[in-house]
Amino acid sequence: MAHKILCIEDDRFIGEMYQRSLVKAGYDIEVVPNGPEGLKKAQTGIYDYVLLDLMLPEKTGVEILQELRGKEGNKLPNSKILVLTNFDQDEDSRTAMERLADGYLIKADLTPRMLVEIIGQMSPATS
Amino acid sequence: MQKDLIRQLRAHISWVMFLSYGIVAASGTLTWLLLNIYFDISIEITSIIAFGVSTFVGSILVYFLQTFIIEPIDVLTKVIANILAPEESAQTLTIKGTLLGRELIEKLTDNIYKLVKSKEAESQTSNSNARYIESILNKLPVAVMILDNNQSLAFANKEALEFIGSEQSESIGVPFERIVNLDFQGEGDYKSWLESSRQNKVHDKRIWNRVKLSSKNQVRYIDLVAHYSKNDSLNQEVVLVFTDKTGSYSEDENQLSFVALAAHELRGPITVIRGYLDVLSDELNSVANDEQKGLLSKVVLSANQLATYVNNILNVSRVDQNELKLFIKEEDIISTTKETVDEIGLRATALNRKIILKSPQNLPTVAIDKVGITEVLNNLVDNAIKYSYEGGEIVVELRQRGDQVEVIVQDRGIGIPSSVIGNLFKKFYRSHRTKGAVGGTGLGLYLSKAIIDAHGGQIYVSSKEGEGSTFGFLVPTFASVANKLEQPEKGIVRSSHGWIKNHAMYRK
Repeated sequence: MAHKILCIEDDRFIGEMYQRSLVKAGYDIEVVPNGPEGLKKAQTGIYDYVLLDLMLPEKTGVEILQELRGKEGNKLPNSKILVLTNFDQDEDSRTAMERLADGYLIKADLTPRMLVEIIGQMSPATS
Repeated sequence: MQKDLIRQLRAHISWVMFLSYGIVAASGTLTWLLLNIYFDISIEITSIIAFGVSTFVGSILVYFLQTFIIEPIDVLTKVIANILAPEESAQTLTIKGTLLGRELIEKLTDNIYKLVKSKEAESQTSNSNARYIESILNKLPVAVMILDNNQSLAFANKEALEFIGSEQSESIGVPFERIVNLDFQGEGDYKSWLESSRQNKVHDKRIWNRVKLSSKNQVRYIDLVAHYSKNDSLNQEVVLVFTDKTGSYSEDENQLSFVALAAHELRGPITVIRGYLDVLSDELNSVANDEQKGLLSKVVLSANQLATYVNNILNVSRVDQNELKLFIKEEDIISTTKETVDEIGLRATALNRKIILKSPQNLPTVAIDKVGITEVLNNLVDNAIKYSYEGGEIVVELRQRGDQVEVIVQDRGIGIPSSVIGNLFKKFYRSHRTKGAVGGTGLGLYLSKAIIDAHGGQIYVSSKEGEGSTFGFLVPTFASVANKLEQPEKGIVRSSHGWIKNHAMYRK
């Protein structure tokens, strides 16, 4: 069965772009354009990968990350979370995020092909 | 004190008098004995004659002593005492006793007084001159510091004291480097200028702009002028003048952080452009003709260039806010360089330049931040492409230099005039000659230097106009610094935790 990916991304063009390439690569992908909805979906735990943007309307990616992997423990042990952002954090908050997520990628330097390649290299937690 | 002096002198005079009396007594006794031995005269007459002789000798002796020695000495002593402490022994001078030497003594006394008067006048003028100059210095709206031959503070005007944030008394004699901390932000610094001046110059002058000055009070941006003089007779080795430019320069800083913010925004559309271009190049590969592929590759290269500029701007804003942190670990410099050269080779080929990589079979591993060094290499090779001619060759060479590995990027392009070579590593600096002809943000070399500096390495340039330029940098071998790295294995890329970041190898 195809691996399931949740993409929480408010930029429609970027969301569509990732969707197209990942679908072509054989993944089952769902794109959600805002924070609260994204968190709700992620919490179902049915996704192998969560692609998380940081600058999101209503609820930021950092907040989502805190709720999924923060003080209350890892609520999403079966998903790999990849932070995708264009806003370079200062090193301290990046280091803090590093502890919670499985990867941190700058979107402007990431082509869809590379994303597919990276996801392909990560072994999903469920398999 | 002066009275002691006179008392001592009087004691000496007493001794002279005592000796004189001795001579008088001796002359009387001698006369008495001679008369007794050679003449048969009664003892009374002998005694009277002897007494007469000694009185006569005594009178003459006393007269001469008094007139020629004691009195003049006394007068001169009083003169000196009067000069040294007029209020203590205001004695009126009488030269009545000095009959024969009076004129001489009068002249002597006169001369002493004149000498003292003129000395006094001189010191008064020089005092008032000094006050005059100090008053000017204190009114100057710029800070002035004078450093002595040990580079300790000898003088600071009012404005300078405000910069330092302490009182004159606290800072005079304190070594300059302990008073303020100067950050020359990529230009040759004060210390190296001083060293080279000390070796090669008698006088030297140097101006720095946009120097960051931190004292115990605050941080300011200044323009600094320094004047050096060798073996200065007044022990003023260096005179420093600086003006506070915090207002205008920090405005630049604000502009830069605005630019940084804007750069982040630019990344959104760049993501989509680069992403879809990648998709298109892939999917159109089988259907597009060669011309169309050529066009597409130019769009791809331009989009990549745009992304690099944006990254440079963001990194510069990090450098300026002291937030550029490197994750230094053990890396293979040959493969790092090869990956970069392979990547930028595409761009070079498109612009009809050839990159040649020369490297020994083996080199020791180096302690670097791979992303950072890739950035530097990209900037240097990119410059070599920009400033060379079509069909030109660019040589990238690696070699070991003791505890360091040297990376050299050499082109046979237009070269750099010697007048501007010192400015190359400055922020926003672009050679005026090429400003119109060649694109760029003027940040690449500034950033490269910041990255190499942070590695504890050196970056350099040598060039001859019309013959090409050589840029190079040296980074430490891993073995030479391994024990200094706090956690050598620590890096952004942590494969053991499955941590993934867009690494240099994913940059296109």
